[in-house]
Amino acid sequence: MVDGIYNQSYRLPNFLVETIDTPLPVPVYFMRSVGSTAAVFFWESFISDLANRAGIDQYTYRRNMLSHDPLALRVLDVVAAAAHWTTPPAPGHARGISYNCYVGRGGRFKTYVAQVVELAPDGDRLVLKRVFCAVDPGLVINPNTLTAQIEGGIGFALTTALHSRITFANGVVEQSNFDSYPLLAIDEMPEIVPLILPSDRPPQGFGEVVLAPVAPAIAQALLQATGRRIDVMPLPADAFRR
Amino acid sequence: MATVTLRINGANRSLEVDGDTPLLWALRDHLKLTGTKFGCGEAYCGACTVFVDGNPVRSCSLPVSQVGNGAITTIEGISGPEAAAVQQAWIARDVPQCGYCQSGQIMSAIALLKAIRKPTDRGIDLAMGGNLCRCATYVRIRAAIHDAARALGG
Ligand code: FES
Ligand code: FES
Repeated sequence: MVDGIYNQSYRLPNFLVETIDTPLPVPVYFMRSVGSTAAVFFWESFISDLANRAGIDQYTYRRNMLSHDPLALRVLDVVAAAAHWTTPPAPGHARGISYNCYVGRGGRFKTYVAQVVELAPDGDRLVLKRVFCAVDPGLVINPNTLTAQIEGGIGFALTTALHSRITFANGVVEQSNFDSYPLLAIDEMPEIVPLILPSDRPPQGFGEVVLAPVAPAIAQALLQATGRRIDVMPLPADAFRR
Repeated sequence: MATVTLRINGANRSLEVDGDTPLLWALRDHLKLTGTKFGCGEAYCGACTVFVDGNPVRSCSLPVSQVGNGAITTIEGISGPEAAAVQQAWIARDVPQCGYCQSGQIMSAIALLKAIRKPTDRGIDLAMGGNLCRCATYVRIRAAIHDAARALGG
């Protein structure tokens, strides 16, 4: 439930996480990325708010708050450099940056991930054009499979971020098939730029790690482009209106 | 129940089924051609794509009574230069992840390359838009189709 929050990386001298079990009227269970998709959407959006409140660039703010953690800084710096973060985006375009250290299997592995998403204008809408994704998963045995997980994981996260809305009426789920519960289709798949960092650490986990940072990075870019601050998933379609 | 004769992958196959049985279930349950997959049953996902007289159709939504004399090709029976180019490109790019959608993806890719020698990205979006992939292998599907088009001299 609070994956990625209780074990978050930012240097916060006063930090307490408490959870309360909320009884839900419907059974819920794990999905790919476990709790991190929901928790990191909140957490990274909160960090984005703090940066905006402080009037500091999103990359610089995260860098300052992670200066004690060289592996975190490394993924953040690599993704920012690849995306030319310090060069402003073209007019009408917008970017968002996000970070997460995925702590998996009860602390037995740590994989560092940083992403930059690029939104571009397309008619009266903004569309997701490209995602840069820097990862430090320890020693990589098979870079081809790892790259496939970066591509597919981001696509999976986009289905959750953009489409997976479940609603209820009279105690029944209203969605029943892909017409009412769409999956991401090929025309919505952005270009992916994988950035795999060399590491001496033993191999860490990877199947779920790239998902969580996607939605908060898009929300941050939308806020920058449209002034609308989105704090629900799936991100509403009209949030992408220009 | 009726005896229905279908022309599948170049051979006549007779089976006892209701005429309204979707072709998908005739293929999978009666003929054990399980390369063709069930995803949604309502023509939304493309996992069940086969060719009838060379045209891609969603076999989940086609009753066997409507196939008539149409020549059916399933993933098990694909052949020809487009099929070979797509198979090679799929292997070289390591496209599949879980693999579930891939029979349908490959059928649609072959149909696309038969219709358009050198598809653009937009052409790929249009032709492949009905083939969903939960693993989101779309980056490699796109790249493999471009590779196959190049191999075919497109
Ligand atoms: S099973 Fe036929 S389109 Fe989904
Ligand atoms: S490879 Fe898994 S659904 Fe497409």
